[in-house]
Amino acid sequence: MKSGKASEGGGTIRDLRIARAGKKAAPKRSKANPLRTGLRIERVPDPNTVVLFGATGDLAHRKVVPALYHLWAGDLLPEKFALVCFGRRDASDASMRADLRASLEKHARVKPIDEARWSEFASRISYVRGAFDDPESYASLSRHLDQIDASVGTGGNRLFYLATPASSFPEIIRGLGAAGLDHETGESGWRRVVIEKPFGRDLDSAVKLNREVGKVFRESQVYRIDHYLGKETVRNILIFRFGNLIFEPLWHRRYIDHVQITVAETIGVEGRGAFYEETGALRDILQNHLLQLLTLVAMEPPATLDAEALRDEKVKVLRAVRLLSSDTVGEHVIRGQYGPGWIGATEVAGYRSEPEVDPSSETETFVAARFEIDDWRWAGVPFYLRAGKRLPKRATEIAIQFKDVPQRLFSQTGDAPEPNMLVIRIQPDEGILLRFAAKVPGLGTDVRPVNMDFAYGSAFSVESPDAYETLILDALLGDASLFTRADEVEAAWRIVDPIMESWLVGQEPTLPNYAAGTWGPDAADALLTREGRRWRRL
Amino acid sequence: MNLSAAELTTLRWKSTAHSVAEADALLARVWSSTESRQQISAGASPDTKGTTGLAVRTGVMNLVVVAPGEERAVGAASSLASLPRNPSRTLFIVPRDPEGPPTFHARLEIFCAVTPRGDGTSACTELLWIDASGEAGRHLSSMVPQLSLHDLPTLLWWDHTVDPTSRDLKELLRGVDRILFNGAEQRGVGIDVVRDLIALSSASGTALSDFSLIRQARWRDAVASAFDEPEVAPYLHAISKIRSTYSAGSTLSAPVNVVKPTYHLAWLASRLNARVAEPLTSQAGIWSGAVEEEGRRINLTLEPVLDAGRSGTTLALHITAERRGGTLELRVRADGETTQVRAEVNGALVLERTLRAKRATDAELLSRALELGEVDPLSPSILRTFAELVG
Repeated sequence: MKSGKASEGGGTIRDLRIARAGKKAAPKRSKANPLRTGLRIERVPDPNTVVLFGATGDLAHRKVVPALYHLWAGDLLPEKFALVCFGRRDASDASMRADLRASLEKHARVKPIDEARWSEFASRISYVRGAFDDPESYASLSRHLDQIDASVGTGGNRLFYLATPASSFPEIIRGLGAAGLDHETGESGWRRVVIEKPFGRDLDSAVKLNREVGKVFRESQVYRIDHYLGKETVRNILIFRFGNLIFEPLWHRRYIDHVQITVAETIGVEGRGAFYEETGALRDILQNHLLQLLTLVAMEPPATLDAEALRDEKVKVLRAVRLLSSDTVGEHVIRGQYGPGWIGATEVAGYRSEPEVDPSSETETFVAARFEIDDWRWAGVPFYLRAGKRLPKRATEIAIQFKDVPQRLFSQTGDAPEPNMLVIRIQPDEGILLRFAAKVPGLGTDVRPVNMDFAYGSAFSVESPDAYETLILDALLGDASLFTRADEVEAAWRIVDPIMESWLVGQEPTLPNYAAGTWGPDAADALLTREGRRWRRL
Repeated sequence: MNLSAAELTTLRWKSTAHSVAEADALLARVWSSTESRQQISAGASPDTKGTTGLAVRTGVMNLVVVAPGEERAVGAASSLASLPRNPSRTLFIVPRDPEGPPTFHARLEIFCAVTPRGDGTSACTELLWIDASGEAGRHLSSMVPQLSLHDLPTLLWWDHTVDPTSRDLKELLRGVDRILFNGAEQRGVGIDVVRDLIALSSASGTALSDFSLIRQARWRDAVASAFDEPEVAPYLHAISKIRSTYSAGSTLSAPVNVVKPTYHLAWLASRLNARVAEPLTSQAGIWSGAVEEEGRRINLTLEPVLDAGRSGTTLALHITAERRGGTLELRVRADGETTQVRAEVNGALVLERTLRAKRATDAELLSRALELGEVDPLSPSILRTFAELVG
């Protein structure tokens, strides 16, 4: 037997010994269930308990519990499953179930609620009252979880979901650590923690938070959730780029003039004025969603699709983004705030008149920025990012503008062809559009741009799951590909920090500087027009 | 784009043709002439700005439905009407009067629905209702390619008994990407017809989808879910016996189509990577055979049971496995709404679960079959094992 054959048995020391002795190692079987191959559901999580902190809060009721219910109703959770709600409020198992049921009526993706499925799901819900800063609460939680393991057979596998305000993260993490709830041993099952954004308010606080989390949990146990990454069309960017050969050779500064990424919302702060006052468009959208989209567009092909390989490439992009200085922020980043205006034939109030908003607020509701990525693929290609509230249209898209053809062959006889454009529409009407030049039928050589338009809905009739369903299931399966790693969070803050610092000391623009229902301040247009470009009309 | 919502879908154009060439030319002219395009677009309601949107044909696929009679064709059309999205062109072909003179008559219709894009654009689908008599009905392969839209995948739904020896079918398969049929509706025991069709499609490189196999997805989900459980999972590679009981109807003496229960055996054998040791043979209505997984024999049985249900329908799947002194008995059953899994180890109940899984409707089956497109992760290996099992 050739020595190389040993790897067929799995390549372990044992296999090598067996191979040297002239015996063939028995082929190793994967732990995965082979009967699942090709079925609607290819993997189901191990038996587990989800512990929901902030169970009485808005996020838990609007997103997390409906997502868990839909996973249960779709047979995507194991039979041995339990949901433990942890909160400060005085409540019982029954009252918690009733509250969650009432919220589900409002927020379920599929209605009406399937009574039989709800009843099975509800029977797995229990409530533990406790305070985040009270060690005895965690001891009590630990005893409760041990009881569930014994009675339900959840095998010690636990997912701690922190659906609380970010200010509570450190004390919950410390509490879990002090109670030993983070410990993973061979027999105790896995322990994972899901943390909701924002991951800090700036680089310092993000580093501190990561340090606090890292004192208790290993990075492989931490799942930082940015629901944007769970959206079907965002995930499709990877398939589009790395599952098709035709675009990748053109994905280069040689052919691409610039990239525009837009997250436009028509809504205002929708009753979250207090939250938004502390956050603003820069922290709320640019630091995470927009920079995440930028990494997916600009990253190099990963060696594999595993979580670490994917996230390594994204971090490389963030590290290659040229940092702005206090001298350049004013030139490259525009902020705005909406005043009163009209959207969809309805008059809407300005930001400063929204509930819980300071009437003299300086918080930005719009941000546009120009970034460059200093690597061999992208050097010299500007990435224009913009996000805003109360814009005329709800649209999220990535537009890749290609360069002009090198020789304008047709400019003598007709119009010069417009450069090609590739648009990845993320919402609404998800799809991909390629604009190219075509001859106008007739005797002349007039050239016009035409669109080759692919709409997701026309090719696939399968309803996409909610982003939270995708991400919670991934966390339960131990797949961290769509979650943000600590160094990724810090690299993103490193880009945003100089902007915030510059805004603190620099001259304020006069706010509000755009009317609701318009495409942001004029300065945002100037960001492109001074370079001979313009924002795509959406 | 959902063209099925009745309030949105409207007939925008219709005509008739008496030859394939005439039908082809009429439809080509509709989309190439400005006047007729305007006629189709005019059916759309003006948008909020008062402009009428463009009408465009969907770019999904060609669907060719061959039905034994008008009633079946209309039934197929009603399944089609409830699909979440429609083929670009559908040919409903009803071969008639095989001994009569060769005739071709087609009714052409274009239905459109306003898309949700908000710009008034309509997405349209074409329906061709074709009566072909005499020789024309026996040479479908001469009309289908000419009437199919170029560069779109073509699916053939053979809503009929299959004659795998037919030269026309063989020729037809060379020009389509996938054939959909129903193995459970074939004559006799059915498994020989399916085996021959597998061979025929394999020779032509055409993908094969059997509605009966697609329908069993809920059974497969149920069996697989049992082996997710820690108490049952260790027995997966220790199976010694798989027995499927099926409805024989009201008598045990008549031959019953056993395609459906055989698929269960083929699926399990293919997923376990087992090779066929003894093909299935029948004795007094009981079929038996064996496969081997890593040298271990797994006995296979198909057992008829007197039952009021439709003959050939699987009643239960029983799996026995033995390891280290433990014996697993797993039983899976299904009704119209659910599948039920029950597992015992050495007589002690270790799992009892009811999964909500409705029996799929014809429209759902068609939808799933169409959605498979070019990639079907399961059927090829199951069909390969099925052909080996049948011998």
